[in-house]
Amino acid sequence: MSTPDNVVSLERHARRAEPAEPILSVNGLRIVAANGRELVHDMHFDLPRGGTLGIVGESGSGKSLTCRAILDVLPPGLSVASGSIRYRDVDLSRLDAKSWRALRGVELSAVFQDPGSYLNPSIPVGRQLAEAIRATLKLRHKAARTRALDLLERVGFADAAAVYRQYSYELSGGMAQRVLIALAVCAGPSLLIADEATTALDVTVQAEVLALIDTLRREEDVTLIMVSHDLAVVSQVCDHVIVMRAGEIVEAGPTREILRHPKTAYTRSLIEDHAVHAIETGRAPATETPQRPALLSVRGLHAGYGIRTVVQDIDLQVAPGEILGLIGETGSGKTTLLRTILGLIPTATGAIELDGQRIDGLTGTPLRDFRRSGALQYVFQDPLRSLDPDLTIGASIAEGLTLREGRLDVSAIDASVTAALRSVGLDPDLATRLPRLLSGGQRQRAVIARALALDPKVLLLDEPVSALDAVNRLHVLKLLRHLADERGIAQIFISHDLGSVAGIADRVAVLYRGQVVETGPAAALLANPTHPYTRKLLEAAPRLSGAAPATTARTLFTAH
Amino acid sequence: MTRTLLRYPSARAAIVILAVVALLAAFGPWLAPHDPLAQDASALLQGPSAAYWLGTDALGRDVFSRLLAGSTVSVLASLLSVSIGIVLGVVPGLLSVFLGKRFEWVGLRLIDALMMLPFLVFAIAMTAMLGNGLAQAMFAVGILITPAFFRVSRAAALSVANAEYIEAARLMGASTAAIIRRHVVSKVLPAVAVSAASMTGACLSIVASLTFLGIGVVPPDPTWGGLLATDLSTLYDRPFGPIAPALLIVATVWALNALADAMRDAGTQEQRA
Repeated sequence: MSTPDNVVSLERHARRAEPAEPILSVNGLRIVAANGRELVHDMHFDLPRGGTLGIVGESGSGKSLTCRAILDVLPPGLSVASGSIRYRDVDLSRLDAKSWRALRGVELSAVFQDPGSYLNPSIPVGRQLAEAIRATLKLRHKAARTRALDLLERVGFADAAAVYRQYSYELSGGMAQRVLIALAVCAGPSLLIADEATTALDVTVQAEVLALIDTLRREEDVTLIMVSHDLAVVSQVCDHVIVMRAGEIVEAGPTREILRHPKTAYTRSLIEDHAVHAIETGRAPATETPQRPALLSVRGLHAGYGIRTVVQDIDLQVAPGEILGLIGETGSGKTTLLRTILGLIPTATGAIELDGQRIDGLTGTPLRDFRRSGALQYVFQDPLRSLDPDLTIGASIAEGLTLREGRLDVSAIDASVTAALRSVGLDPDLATRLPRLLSGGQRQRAVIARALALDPKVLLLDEPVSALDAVNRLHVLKLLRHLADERGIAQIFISHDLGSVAGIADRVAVLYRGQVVETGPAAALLANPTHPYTRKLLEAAPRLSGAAPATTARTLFTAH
Repeated sequence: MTRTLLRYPSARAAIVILAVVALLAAFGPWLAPHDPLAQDASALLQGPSAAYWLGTDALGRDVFSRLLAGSTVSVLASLLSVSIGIVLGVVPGLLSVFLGKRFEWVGLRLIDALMMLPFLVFAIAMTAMLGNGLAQAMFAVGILITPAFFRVSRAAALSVANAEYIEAARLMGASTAAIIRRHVVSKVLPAVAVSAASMTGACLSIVASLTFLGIGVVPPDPTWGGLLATDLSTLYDRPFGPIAPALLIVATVWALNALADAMRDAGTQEQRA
């Protein structure tokens, strides 16, 4: 039986600090679901003190479950079937609740993907931080406050006193993640687990947060486990990498070694996935944009909310079969621009034309008729939220058809739904399923199928692949390229993942503070950006550092 | 939903009780062994006997027959109130979310005003205005429980109003009515069903208390609450008198509340699955 004594003895060990001894040692870890299905099989690693370990894999590979098992916070229904997790000389699987309280959040702490949901929206973030400090370090109010302010400064807030009083909803994703990092390190942990901690952030912010984690790790002598679906993110911070797939270790070793000499096809695919432009689009990238008449054109557009102008002086043209990549950080106006084209936000000045017809300023019946025509379709970022949870996939796809055609007989609807599902490479049998029973990749295709069912001329895609893991992202990107080439569907594609944009866009427009600062053929623009902001964006993108130059990230932007 | 619901023992018990009550309401008047209005001057205030199972009241009427005959009116009256509450509450509740700021403001203030009204005073005023009858009284009760349905359906609709799938439908040219029919009703229905069950229970006690106070009751027609009232006035002679009607009211209200609870639990469990 393990008792609090163990925790005390562990404190003593900490001071002795034997570098040879692993600080965390996982052996033969098996995690099973209530129905007996094995989710993680024989996970094992030793992590030396001060070491950095990255665990990489697509969603469902068991990487997050492993971390949750280490912290003893597995989701209900899942349990550790066998194996051991040793932290210093304590067997964590035998610890009781009381000992856990002394350990979790103090010695072992974690940062997760969605920082907003871990902060209480009704209490200023500084006070939450101070409370955590009081609870773990047993400090008095004033001392806790001073330390909280100090920590906020350390995680990169210039005006810590102002942030201290702010609420979580007033912070951007990057700021909230910094606060969460401050919370995670406030008690001076020995082990920090960062589970997809930068996934939800834009490239520029992601780079800053990664740098912050790396700095804190060095300064505070923290051992780090970093979990991500993105090999590039992990490779920037971690010395060692474990690649997981379907609950098993595919490959493990020093980061440089794995990047240079991947042993398995799967790891190679993860590395190559980063050089997205290597997608076989079946077509040489256009060096000069062919002079086709524009299908969708935006001229001199100003738009915003109320008196606040968000996008200004936008001029964009998209030809049939052309994909225009739209890049820029959060708040640059990408989504506002798409929503204005869709007529969800009124245009202040300027014109939007689709196929020679003005579509801005439509209201009432003309607007409804235009929307029902299905010529312009929108694909949302999160497929799960854009599908009604109570309707089957088939019913969702049929919705637009029935709105346009009035009452259709069942067989005609079924035929269209089947055709739409086939065109995105999904099994037509999925039509009878509810959205939650589909995987993330299947759902995003179903959403695209819903748009395709109406035979659109233009698709507007708002971060359509950012919620997907590497493998599914590649499939969806290939699908979109195929739709442009084979069906001539023009597309505007927003992504904060420059690799995806480089992979499929013909042309790229860079949006900065609501204005297009640079536009041009994708390959040329990403290889030789002229505007300083574009250069900053490109530099911030995570790369596979240390990999052999021939296969990787370097080539990401220097196409052909 | 039904299958999950049946896993709760309380829900099964509630359904059995409600089935019995429904049978009583449907066939009660025909099941009665005596004419509920027939007076037997030779047998006043009697205890239970073979002829009169629950005894007789001060006018010599068979209490058991009156209880059975009163079921229909009592149950129908509470269902009437709940139906009025649903129609007047749910529809504006949904529209308050989708019809824009002005409608929303007016709707909310009206509902606030209704919530402020003292229930008994309002019911008495309504019956004074419309005439003293059970239908009028239940109409008043229906209006008074409107805010509950308004709030519940509005809250449920608010949680989905900004959903991306509703925006997607709008972008495909769906009208507000089509969006409500297709995407909103199914989200609001579980919440409304739960409040309908608990409100039916509440209305049943309201019918009882109103008739007990003499509002809405038209003697000599029997209702459960009316029986309770007459039995209380002869408590010294028939101390066991109020037990049977009270038991019936309590059991029905309990069953409805238990069903509402189980429905809510089953709903949240299914969402998690």
